[in-house]
Amino acid sequence: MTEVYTGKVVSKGIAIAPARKVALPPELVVPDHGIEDLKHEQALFDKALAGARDYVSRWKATMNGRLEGEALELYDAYDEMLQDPELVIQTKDLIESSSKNAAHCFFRVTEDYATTLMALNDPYLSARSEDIRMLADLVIRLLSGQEIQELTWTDKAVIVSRQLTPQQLSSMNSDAIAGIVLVEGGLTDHTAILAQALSIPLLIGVSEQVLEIQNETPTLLDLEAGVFEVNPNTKQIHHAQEKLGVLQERFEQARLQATEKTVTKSGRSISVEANVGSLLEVKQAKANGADGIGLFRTELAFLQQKTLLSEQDHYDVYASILEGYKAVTHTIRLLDFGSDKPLSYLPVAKEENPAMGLRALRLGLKNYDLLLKPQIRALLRISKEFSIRILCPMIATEKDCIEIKSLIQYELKDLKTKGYKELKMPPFGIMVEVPNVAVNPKKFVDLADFFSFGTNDLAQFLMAADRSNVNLSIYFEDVKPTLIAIIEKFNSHAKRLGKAVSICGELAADTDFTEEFLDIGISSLSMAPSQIPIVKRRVREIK
Amino acid sequence: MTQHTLVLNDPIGFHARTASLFAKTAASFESEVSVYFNEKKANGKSMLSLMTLGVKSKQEIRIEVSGGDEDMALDRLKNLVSSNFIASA
Repeated sequence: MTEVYTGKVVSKGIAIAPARKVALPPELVVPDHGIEDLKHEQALFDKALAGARDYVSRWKATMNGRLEGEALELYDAYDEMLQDPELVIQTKDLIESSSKNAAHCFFRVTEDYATTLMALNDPYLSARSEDIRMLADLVIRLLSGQEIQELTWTDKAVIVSRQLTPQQLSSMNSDAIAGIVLVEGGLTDHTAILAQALSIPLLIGVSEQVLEIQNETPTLLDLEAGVFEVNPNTKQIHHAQEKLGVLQERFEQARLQATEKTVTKSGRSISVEANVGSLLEVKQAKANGADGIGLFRTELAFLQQKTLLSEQDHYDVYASILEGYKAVTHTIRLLDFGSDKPLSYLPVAKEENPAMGLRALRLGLKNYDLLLKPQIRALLRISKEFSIRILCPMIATEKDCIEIKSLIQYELKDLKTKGYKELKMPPFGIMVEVPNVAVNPKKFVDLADFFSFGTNDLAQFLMAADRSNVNLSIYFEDVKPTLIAIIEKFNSHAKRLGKAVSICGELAADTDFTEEFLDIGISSLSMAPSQIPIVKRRVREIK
Repeated sequence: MTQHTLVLNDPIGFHARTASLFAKTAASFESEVSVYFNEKKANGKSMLSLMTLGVKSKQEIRIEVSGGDEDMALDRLKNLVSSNFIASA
């Protein structure tokens, strides 16, 4: 019989695919005990290595055709590490000399290599030490019969889980994710943003009962209708397939038109730009006809690394991403994360309320030399090669604004004395997301070159409603008229000084308001790349 | 025993790809192969061991080979490194 679940729709779409449950793997336990039969233990070790190589070759087969040359070679490197003579011989020697179990010995040997590679302070080799630890984890689980969780599959499936972190989502092949159904999660958290960017249907706030679903149960996730159906009947599936066909056709049409010039019937225009965090998204933005990159979230560069980034690391990350769409201006936001996204290399105390805590520039300024300084200098250097604007998040006071601007100017001056003579200050902008800024346009319009409304944070601060709390979603409907009024007032002040105001929160993609934004004279709207064709089509319909 | 000192020109140094090519080439010979860098010694047939040397671009390494086919082995390894790892393993 069909079971039907509902929840909050975060990212629309339709998926017809089997369910697959994803949970965090239980933490690895490294057993440590003495053994008597050394030869037997060494044979078990050989068997586990062979088993691990089987896993690796399956992963490679899964990714074949989806990943290109170099990315695919990673699996060959894994395979080679599992056969590395030093790793094998040292482990076997240690089994003999210590009379300890293979898992314990292999852990010690691999940790030794991982630590040595990490200590070389080379981002490339540090990444290899992560590879070794991952492989050690796999071999030890095989040796000791602990659960191995693979997040790689070739066919499409609907993920069913309590929660899904942005890291988990990024680690999986998006092609194989037909849809996502979560018990927890927020409307505008990073998992939501990623799902929208990848055009994966996402339903959150679903009843706990959904977790009792068996893997491979047929499901229908129809987020045009807002339902998750378990064991749908053929009639339901047929109906959904028809709807899906119509949707795909409509989207394809909009996408084909997206790269055409976007003006209203009377010739008014607004720049429709993309929010991005990775090269993949920049490429999507380009394919979907984005007029620019309206918000480049640099925090992903921090979050995906295991060690602190140097100025050159920052430079290399941004250069490789900006290269994906060189023709347009990129608005690059300085780091925005806090205690809700802890970094292994920067201990931050846990906070009661991270959204209002020591995050973004507050955290960046407190650890200036470690976090902001290399980032700012890399951005200034990159402004020579690419057209960029620098955007500062979480500005609350005039002092915040002046302080960060003078730091950027200081780094610019310093770089000029160190061989970068022709560098100029890129346009400097601030996020309008703290109510104290939003309601005081007169105080702030003089202080920056451009302004970008972060409506997601502004909405949660205006309503004192946590945006990751599913029970409070209703407030984010009611806040819209207030947001529009604030944006209109701010924009009228900025306009007098000829300064641009853009919107980069969820509201930017809401086609109910596109006309209003045009009327007010907003200069650009920035959204998930997948939304661009839809908003552009809306612009063309307006007078 | 025979040996040779030369500069590694690869832009990154001994990383997974170059270390792997070196180790594979070394492993195709019977002789023992060691690589010395900054007073550290690595098993030339082990990619992991080579990576732990931390050799960066333009740095000098010493290759030491000893065994029945040492001359041929050293020749091939020299070629591999000086051709910037283009000469096939």
